[in-house]
Amino acid sequence: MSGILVVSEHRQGELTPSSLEVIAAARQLKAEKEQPLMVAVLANNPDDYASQVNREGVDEIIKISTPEEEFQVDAYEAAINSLINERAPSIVMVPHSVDAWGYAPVVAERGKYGFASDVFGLRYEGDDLVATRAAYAEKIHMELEFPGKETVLLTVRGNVFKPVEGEGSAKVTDFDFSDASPHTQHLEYIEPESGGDVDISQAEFMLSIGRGIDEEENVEQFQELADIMGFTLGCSRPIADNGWLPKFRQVGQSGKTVASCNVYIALGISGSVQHMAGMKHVPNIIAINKDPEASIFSIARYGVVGDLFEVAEELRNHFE
Amino acid sequence: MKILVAVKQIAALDEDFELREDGKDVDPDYLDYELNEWDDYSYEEALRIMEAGGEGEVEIVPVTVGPDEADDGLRRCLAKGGERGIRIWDDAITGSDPSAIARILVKVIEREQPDMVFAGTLSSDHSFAQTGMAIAAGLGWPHAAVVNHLEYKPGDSSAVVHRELEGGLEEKLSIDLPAVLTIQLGINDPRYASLRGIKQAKSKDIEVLSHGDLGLSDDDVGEKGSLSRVRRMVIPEKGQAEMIEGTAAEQAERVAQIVKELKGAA
Amino acid sequence: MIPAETQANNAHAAAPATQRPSLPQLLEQARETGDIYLAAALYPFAGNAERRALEDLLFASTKQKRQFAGAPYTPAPLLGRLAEITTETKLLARIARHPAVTAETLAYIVDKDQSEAVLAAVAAHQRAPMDLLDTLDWQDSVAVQKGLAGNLNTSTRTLKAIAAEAPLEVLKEIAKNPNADAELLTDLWSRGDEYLRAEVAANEQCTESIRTAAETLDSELVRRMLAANPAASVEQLLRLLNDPAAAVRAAAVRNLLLPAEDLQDYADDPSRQVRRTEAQRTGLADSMLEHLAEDEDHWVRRWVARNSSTPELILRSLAQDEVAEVRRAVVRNPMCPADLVATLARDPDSWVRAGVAFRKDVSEAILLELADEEDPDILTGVGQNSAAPLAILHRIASHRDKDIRRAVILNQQAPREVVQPLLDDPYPLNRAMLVKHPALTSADLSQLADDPEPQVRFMAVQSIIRSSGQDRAADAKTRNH
Ligand SMILES: Cc1cc2nc3c(=O)[nH]c(=O)nc-3n(C[C@H](O)[C@H](O)[C@H](O)COP(=O)(O)OP(=O)(O)OC[C@H]3O[C@@H](n4cnc5c(N)ncnc54)[C@H](O)[C@@H]3O)c2cc1C
Ligand SMILES: Cc1cc2nc3c(=O)[nH]c(=O)nc-3n(C[C@H](O)[C@H](O)[C@H](O)COP(=O)(O)OP(=O)(O)OC[C@H]3O[C@@H](n4cnc5c(N)ncnc54)[C@H](O)[C@@H]3O)c2cc1C
Ligand SMILES: Cc1cc2nc3c(=O)[nH]c(=O)nc-3n(C[C@H](O)[C@H](O)[C@H](O)COP(=O)(O)OP(=O)(O)OC[C@H]3O[C@@H](n4cnc5c(N)ncnc54)[C@H](O)[C@@H]3O)c2cc1C
Repeated sequence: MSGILVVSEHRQGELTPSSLEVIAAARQLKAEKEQPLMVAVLANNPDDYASQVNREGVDEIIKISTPEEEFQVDAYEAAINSLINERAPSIVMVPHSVDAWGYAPVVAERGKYGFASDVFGLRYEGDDLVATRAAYAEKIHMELEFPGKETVLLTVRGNVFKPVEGEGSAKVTDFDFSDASPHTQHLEYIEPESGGDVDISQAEFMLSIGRGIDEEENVEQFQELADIMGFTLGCSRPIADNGWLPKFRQVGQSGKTVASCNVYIALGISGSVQHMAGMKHVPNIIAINKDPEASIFSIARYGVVGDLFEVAEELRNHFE
Repeated sequence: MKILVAVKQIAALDEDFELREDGKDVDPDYLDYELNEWDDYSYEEALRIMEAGGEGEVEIVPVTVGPDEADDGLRRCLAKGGERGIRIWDDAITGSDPSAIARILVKVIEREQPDMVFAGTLSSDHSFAQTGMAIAAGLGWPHAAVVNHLEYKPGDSSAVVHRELEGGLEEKLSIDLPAVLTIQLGINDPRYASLRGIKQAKSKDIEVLSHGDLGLSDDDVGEKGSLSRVRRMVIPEKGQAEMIEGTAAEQAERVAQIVKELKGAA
Repeated sequence: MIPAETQANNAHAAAPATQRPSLPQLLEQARETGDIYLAAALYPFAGNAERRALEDLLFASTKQKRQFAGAPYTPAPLLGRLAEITTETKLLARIARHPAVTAETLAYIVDKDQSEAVLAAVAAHQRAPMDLLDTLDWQDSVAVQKGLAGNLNTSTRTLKAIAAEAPLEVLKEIAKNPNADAELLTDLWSRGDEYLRAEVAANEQCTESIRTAAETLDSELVRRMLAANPAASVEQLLRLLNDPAAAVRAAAVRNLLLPAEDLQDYADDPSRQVRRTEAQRTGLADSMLEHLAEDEDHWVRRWVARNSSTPELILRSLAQDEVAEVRRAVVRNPMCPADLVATLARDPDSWVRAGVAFRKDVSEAILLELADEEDPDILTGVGQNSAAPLAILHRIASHRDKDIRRAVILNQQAPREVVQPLLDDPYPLNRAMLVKHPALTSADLSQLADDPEPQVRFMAVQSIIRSSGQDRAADAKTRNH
């Protein structure tokens, strides 16, 4: 058993950015221990994606033609299981995406492969692979090993590894699998509600509020502060779920990714994985939280431990 | 028609927790248990289907794998509806990863023969997002993860669901039944149990089974039945953030200065 | 004799419903059910022997000890006892951080354990008396120094001793302390960076010469903090009113030492921050309010509308403001005349109408009209309104939205017949808030003492015992007469 197999993903005609991050994670392991790196592309017409994943360090691109253009869970499972059977990689890596939440545990269970989800750290100890993931609501890191497993499947956390760039010179091959009968049928995509003029994914400066603001009445003063500072107001999911701010202002996995953001001020946001998924990449994160242990500080560039109301009150004096 | 709902007690850490002697987990003295937030939503979804059906037409059964204290989670569910729960535990189950837990639940499902299985999308302590789909694999049933909308009537041979994808996008799809669905927060607005319900739940039947009762061997559960093993747990270092100290005025001034510099540069 | 019917209805309650359970009965109930929350609530009221029995229950595991050491509801006597029976530093430090712990227990803990964690907790504790704080060893710990520096009970002498040796971050805390005297502040001023000086300038105890010096400093922050000093002179504030920095002017305007009539000439301040602050002052001349009422900034108009010294005529014109928040502020103004309230009860904006619903002086006719709306804010206002008619309160008490039902629970005037059904409200928070309702009878409280929610049982038992204490006190009073 040897080699690393990465399964890339795409949606609505776009390769997902996390696919390139997973390739980067795989390259890191390859650097520790030389082994071939394969990237699988599953689509009705995989050619376009195949050229996009041809990045530095990739040795082989495996095109798999599926009946549907878009993700279909049964096809992904059948294709990946039979590819693993044939190629016998020691490690299989996929993004920790919503699609993968659907297929990865199933693939692992069928093949009785080693498995760990939401992995953000990887290394070898001697010949043994060690995967790090979080436990107890991110307060602790858990290191997992896979004794006796010849193949290990990992789902890799987003926004941790820097996407690979440089062009590669991988050979391209085709792979056929015996089709599984599908048990689900795609009907349509439903686009998120738009916010008129406000598109937080385009905003360069964001001020986001979380459950720390306590009450609905307090929302307004932060709206005013954001206005004064020339920032766009965003929020964590509970604020939107409560109806305190419209859904289109929600940052995170099930909200928007603040793709163009340069400065992100997080007020009273604890830093759940799902929230961070939408803003972790921002180069200048300023976190204000009264709990010095809050996980948001682990990704912030600047941290303020203090009462958000006091700091906000002082802050406005500098922008009036 | 029967719906089986897998529920779990999550562990919350006490503020100054310590690791166990062997370093592989937290000292259980520092853990408090409560029902996984997602399970309130999946149980509510099952309750609604039950209530929409005719009298006695739909049965819902909460099931958990866990020690005595996990009864609390089952009773919390039963206080809202349902007549009986199932709990599986014995010492050999200690050390089970989600795959081993799913294997146990599969056996329960094969025994109970439900028409639909719900699980939470993930849990707020360990967030594997694995158990529900691993159950589907064991059963060989159709499955969908992160469901935030469900259109279904008892007797239907398929259901329409929405999967919550990244970036607020949703996928609408139809799925053959029976199926395993993992339910996402926000799919409904979970109720609170009535006082009468809480009282009644105390005397509702909870069947307690061991892995042997389900025909599983010691090799199927615990460490041996798992796809991974905990090597150790570590308390992470604090982040690399530059901490801004001083009075609120001082902190705010520094933040303002940083912001202005960055805005100026932009 | 207890009527059979009542007995049957309350079969689950620990005591007959027509009379309040006695302390011994409650203690028995706690022991029988093993209910630690009941036990914790009863502990302060129990005799010594009973307390020992309760402790067996309360301190059954290390986990429970830790829980009670940190829980915000733990009564002081229980904390004191916990301190006695433990030697664990972590636990003692937790107890020493607890806001309810008594001065005696704090002294006891310091005697027992001088670890930094314990000393830092005591040093910062608001209940630690001056003499205890004076004895703490702060030499080797910045955490202890910080705690003492920020404590309102720390003596001037100790503050001075610390100031002689402590790092800048501690000095900043000292400069905020009202026990820092003029001499200490003068010393700090001379050693200070801008931020330390700012804290000194804001301190009521600082000397006039410091205040004069602060005024001429180039630092906007120092001048702003000076302008907030409750001992600043009027002349100085008048000068600060002309400061180039808007934030300084705004701080001066906020300072109540400055007579409102002196603001007259500043109604046109170019900074909206200043004008917004002005609009919040009471006692402004009518002409100034009139001027501010036409400000282009809607926040300024909002504050005028909310200002209790704003004359009726101005309120009438603001009631037609295009910004709903301004109209809402008018209706939240206690001086808003009845006919204007009636007009705003039909405002197109529901948030304005909700403001009407919260007014205590609103007519029954208006409340009846608002009660037919669906907006949750409006219904909440109606439900909390002491003038709301009974039929409406009943309706709101059975609303399907739990947050709307809570409105009648918060309505102190709601009669028992309205709140009684809410003893069975499925939402635990509603029952927890209901415990404090004045209309509940002892039968109601007994029922809540048996609630599934620990917090509800805990509070119900507290209420039962306190009210029986009041009864006894009242009895004693009658006897003395
Ligand atoms: C599939 C999925 C998708 C999700 N998508 C998203 C998403 O897109 N976006 C998202 O945000 N969440 C998402 N979530 C939810 C996420 O798991 C968390 O529940 C959520 O992010 C928590 O929000 P919060 O940080 O505002 O609240 P909390 O976690 O409650 O944090 C509040 C913080 O405020 C601090 N605080 C309180 N008072 C003060 C004060 N006075 N001063 C300073 N600080 C204070 C506290 O210390 C705390 O850290 C998703 C979950 C799932 C499962
Ligand atoms: C190697 C390893 C060893 C472990 N050892 C232990 C141990 O000794 N003791 C221990 O308590 N935990 C242990 N765990 C953690 C335990 O496996 C997980 O908590 C559990 O499998 C569920 O994962 P999750 O909480 O992330 O749930 P997810 O996969 O995120 O899914 C959540 C949903 O799955 C369902 N679900 C999850 N767990 C259960 C359950 N027990 N019963 C019924 N339904 C459930 C529920 O519907 C829940 O909403 C171990 C984990 C690993 C990797
Ligand atoms: C598990 C649990 C969770 C809880 N969570 C919460 C919560 O989240 N929020 C919340 O508000 N409360 C909570 N409580 C209850 C809370 O601790 C208080 O008991 C409750 O708020 C009552 O406060 P109070 O204003 O009546 O009394 P307080 O004003 O808080 O009384 C403080 C102390 O003053 C003394 N005292 C006051 N009045 C009298 C009197 N008339 N006669 C004699 N002594 C008197 C008592 O010694 C009392 O302990 C919780 C309790 C438990 C058990």
